[in-house]
Amino acid sequence: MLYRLKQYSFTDPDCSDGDTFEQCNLSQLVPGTEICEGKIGLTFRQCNLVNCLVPVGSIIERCNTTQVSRCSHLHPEWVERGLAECAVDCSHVIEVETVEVAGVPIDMIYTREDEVL
Amino acid sequence: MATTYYVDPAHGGTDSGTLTNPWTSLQSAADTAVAGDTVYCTGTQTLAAAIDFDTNSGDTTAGFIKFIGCDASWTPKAAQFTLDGNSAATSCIALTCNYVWFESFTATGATSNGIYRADASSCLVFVDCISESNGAGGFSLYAIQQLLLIRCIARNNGGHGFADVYSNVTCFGCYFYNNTGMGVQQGPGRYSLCLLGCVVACNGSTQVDIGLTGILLNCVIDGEDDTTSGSGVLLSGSLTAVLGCRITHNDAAGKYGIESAAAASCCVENWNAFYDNTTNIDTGIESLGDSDTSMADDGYAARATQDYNVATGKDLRSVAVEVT
Repeated sequence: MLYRLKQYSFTDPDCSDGDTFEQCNLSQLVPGTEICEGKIGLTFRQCNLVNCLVPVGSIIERCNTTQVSRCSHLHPEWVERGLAECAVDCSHVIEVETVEVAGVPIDMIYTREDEVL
Repeated sequence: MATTYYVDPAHGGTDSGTLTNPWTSLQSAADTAVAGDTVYCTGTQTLAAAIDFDTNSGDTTAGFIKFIGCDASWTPKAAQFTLDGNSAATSCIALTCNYVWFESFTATGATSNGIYRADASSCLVFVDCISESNGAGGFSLYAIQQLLLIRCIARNNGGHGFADVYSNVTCFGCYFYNNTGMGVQQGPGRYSLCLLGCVVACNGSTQVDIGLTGILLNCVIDGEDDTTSGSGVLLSGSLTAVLGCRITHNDAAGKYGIESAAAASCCVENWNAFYDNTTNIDTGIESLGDSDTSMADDGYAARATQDYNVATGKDLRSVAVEVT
């Protein structure tokens, strides 16, 4: 079966052996999320496979296979979808600026980025 | 005097930006072309890093710097010029420029945003551009004012379709769908976003989040049955209007066809047509005129294949422009 232009973000599509996904968004929240587990002969063409692990032997053509650790400070709306809440000084922090008044530190400004793995 | 340059990543041999010896990298063109120049681009360039548009800008005297996709015969706009991030480049296009025009460009496969504002930029135009299957946003254009998107598509991106929309932004006939986050995300404190004849559909969160003094006119706003978690339209700012839109399938629990943020006031809706929303219109939004807004069905020709034309014989209120 051909699935085309479908939105499967954060879900595991219900598919069968030999199915083809074309221009679908299958991106997942957490790196290394297995999708279509146990299925064989799948083809993914021009799909968003960010954070996906597809079954071994699948054909992947022109897909985005990035694995990215997302920061809950940057994506608070995804906490309710299952993104783990990060600590203030999480691994996504790339810069910390201390705000001082008269030499006394009063605040810390954190700059964060999602981390491509 | 305006100069015409050429880019063809598949070209072999001398590389000088001419018709017979085009540059093999768009970066050469971005570093060389100045106001009034046109750069024709054909084929696909696979990227290890973003193309930085941070050297030259157009101006109001000589005009835009134009980058236009072509087919193999250099016929302008006959084919997309594709920048493929190849799951390696952070972005495909990084912008620090003014008065630059992109037409028939595709940005895909970036690990983060497909088309991205790196630093201060303004007065940019995108025509028939596609940003798809990027790790984060499709168009992420924070703090860019005077921005125009015509018939552009943002789809299948891992973040928002059009993220960090700033102020004075117009989208005409654009298509934002299947993005993991929102379709179009502006939010409070920013103003004057106009979506005219756009389709915003099947995005994972709210379809459109619009700020101050914005307007949605003749758009399709359609949620996805299983994966959408937000409202169709979220009015984050005051003095916004939703007019003549088709607002359907925004049926997440507790959400709305049109939702008003607590801080928003003086928001109006009129001539909209609704179907299968949890609640069509949030309190606090003034409904003008048309009181019978619910349709018997969504009326789309083939929603399952993203065809949001209205089927023959269906309710013709709120017909948006189709983008293919």
